[in-house]
Formats: sequence, structure tokens, C-alpha cells
Amino acid sequence: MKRRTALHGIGGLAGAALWRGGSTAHAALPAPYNALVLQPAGGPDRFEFDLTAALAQARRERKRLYVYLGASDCPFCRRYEAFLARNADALVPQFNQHNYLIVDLRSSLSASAAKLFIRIGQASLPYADFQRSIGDERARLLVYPSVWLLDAQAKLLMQMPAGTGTFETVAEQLEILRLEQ
Amino acid sequence: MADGSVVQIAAPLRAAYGASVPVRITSKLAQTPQRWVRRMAVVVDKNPSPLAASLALTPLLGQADFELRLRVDEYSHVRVVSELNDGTLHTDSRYVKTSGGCSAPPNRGALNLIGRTQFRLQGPPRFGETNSAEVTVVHPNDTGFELNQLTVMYIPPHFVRGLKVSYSGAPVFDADLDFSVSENPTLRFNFVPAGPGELRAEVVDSHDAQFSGVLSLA
Repeated sequence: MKRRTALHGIGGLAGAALWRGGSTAHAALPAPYNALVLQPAGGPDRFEFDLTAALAQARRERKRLYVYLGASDCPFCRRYEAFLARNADALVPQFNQHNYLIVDLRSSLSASAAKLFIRIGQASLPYADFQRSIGDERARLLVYPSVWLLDAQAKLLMQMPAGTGTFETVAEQLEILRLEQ
Repeated sequence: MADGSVVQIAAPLRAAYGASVPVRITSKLAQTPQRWVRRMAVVVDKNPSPLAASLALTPLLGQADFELRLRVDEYSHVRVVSELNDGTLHTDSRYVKTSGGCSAPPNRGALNLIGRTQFRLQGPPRFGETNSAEVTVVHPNDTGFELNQLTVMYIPPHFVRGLKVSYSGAPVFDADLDFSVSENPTLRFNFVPAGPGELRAEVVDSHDAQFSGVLSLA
């Protein structure tokens, strides 16, 4: 087996970035995906994303959620966003056909697991507790970027992998949208 | 044979972490003195050391089912090969999409507990019947491909390489293991205790350190 570089060793979790601190660029899903953009509330020690309105919209529109957590200073996030941009013609209709409301959580690598909070209604939980509350196995380590597939009641539709490196081809992104395990 | 009639393996297409891919092996025949699975190999094709586990089994298992977690380093088939006591070989495989399982940052939460070996029985013991149990060894199971993110040096390999489980002195199974097994190696297995006795695990790691764990059933 090949030895990996330091960066690849860190990013070995399916091509993802671990928290390293700092902030430079902008995170954003490409415009054609028409994502609901959520910015974090709170100060430098608390990045809280409130999913309450997104879930309410999903219930009204009978949709499910594709929640993307990207960081402004994360190269692996840029890579996934670039993949989506390159393949928007093929993928946007598929996101629509599979009835996803896309939510874009715009974070930064300084939002470590201890500082990242997810709010639903009155409950605001730090990352690991939120993961445990929905039965997501990725409680141990926060990886950027991350994707959750949720129904309108915030129930996990499918266990997702850490990072997006295993679905950066059109065929594999479609596997995810179809909830293929 | 690879028709799933004797052994089946289940694993997620994509796991949460490549360093901890849950794998379940199900045998479709009971372990009887007449016909039983005597050896089982678990292989991750694309791993640097593909043979993750080689198990020598006995009829005392009752049912040769196992669950464990594996490191999967890149897109790969994960396979099981079962050898019956008549010498026939049976296999099954699943394709797993993940990466970096062997180089993922280690989780070093309990280094002071290295070697602690514990059994957990699924429910109260039932003598003369098949019981489900799991044995866990607290161990980092370092692959040698993990990077210490503070020193930027590779962490030397250090992993559990042998696990022998017996009941009242009779072998249940012997496992030769490798770093393709995830940290804190855990095997869920079955066994049939004829009566009260002692479930014992003898563990050896790649530094030749030896550990043991015991669970008394009464």
C-alpha cells in the first residue's frame, strides 16, 4: 500500500478536511442548486446552525433535506462544490426528481466539533450530541465537508460517510440521492 | 462456491468512517460435529495487508457468525472464505466504497488501558443453547500508516495479532488478526456453554505483549 502524504493522511477520511483553524475563502454550493443558505449564529466560540425553518419548509413542500456543511477555508469543500458546478446540468434535475431541499450550511474550519451547534426548535446540540441524537455514526470526528440526508422530521434517511470523496462522480452522487446502501 | 448458500457477508456500501467499517458474517449452517466451518478468512482486497483475520473454529460456536469492524483503505471488495470440515471452500463478498481507513487519524482515548480485554454476553447465559457474546480488546491497533498530527511522524505499527477464546478450557475459536481490524478490536460471536464455566480470551499483540480477559458464567 502506498504511503500517503501528510495532507492525504489527514484527508484520508474519504477526501475530507479535518479542523485546522483559519478562514480565507467563501463556501457556497453552486447557484443552480438553489440551496437554502444558512449562516451560523453566535460568536467565535459558537457556530450555531438553525435547521428549524428548513425542516418546516420541507414539511410544507413534502421534501427531504440534503444538508451540506462546507467550510470557507476547506479545499475538499471547494473540490466537491466544483464537482457539483461542473455537473449541474446532470445533477440539478436529479436533486429535484428525488425531491430534495438542499440546505447549505456555511461554516469555516475554525468551527470545530465543540463549537458547532445544530438547533432544531428549542434544542441546540453540539455536533457530537446532535449526531448521537439522530443515530448518525459520525459523532466521533467532525469532517469537512459533511452531508446529511434527513426527512422533514430530521430523521436520518441513510448513514452517510465522512467527507464527500466517495460521491464525486455523477454516478456515485446519484447513488446517494437514491439512498443506495 | 460463491452462491451464498453457506456463508454471507454484509457491509455497507459506504461506511461512516473508513477506519471502522462494520462487517457481519453469517453462516447458513449450524456448527455440528458432522458438518462445521473449521476455518474462516476475512480479506480486504486492496488493503496493504489484505488478510484481516484468519479464524480456526470449533463446533462449540454453535453457529459460525461473526461481527467485527475493519479498516478499508480504498474502494475494495471485502470477502469471507469459509472452509468446511469436508475441505470445501465457500465465499461471499461485498464491495465497499471508502478510503483512508489505514491512514485515518487514530483515536487515542485510553492508552493507559491498552490490553484490557472484556467479554459482554448478550443477555443472561442459556446453557445448552447458542449464546451471543462479544470480546473487546482495548488497543490502538496502529497500522503504521497513521500520521501523528503533532509530530508529523508516522506512528509505528502496533496491533493485536492473536486472540484465542475458550470456554472451560475447550477452544471456541482462535483468531490470527492484522491491523486491518479497527482499533479496539471487537468480535461478536456465538458459543454453546454446556454448563457453568469460564469464558477466557488470551491476547497477544505485535509487541508480544500478552493480555487476557475472563467472564464466569454461573
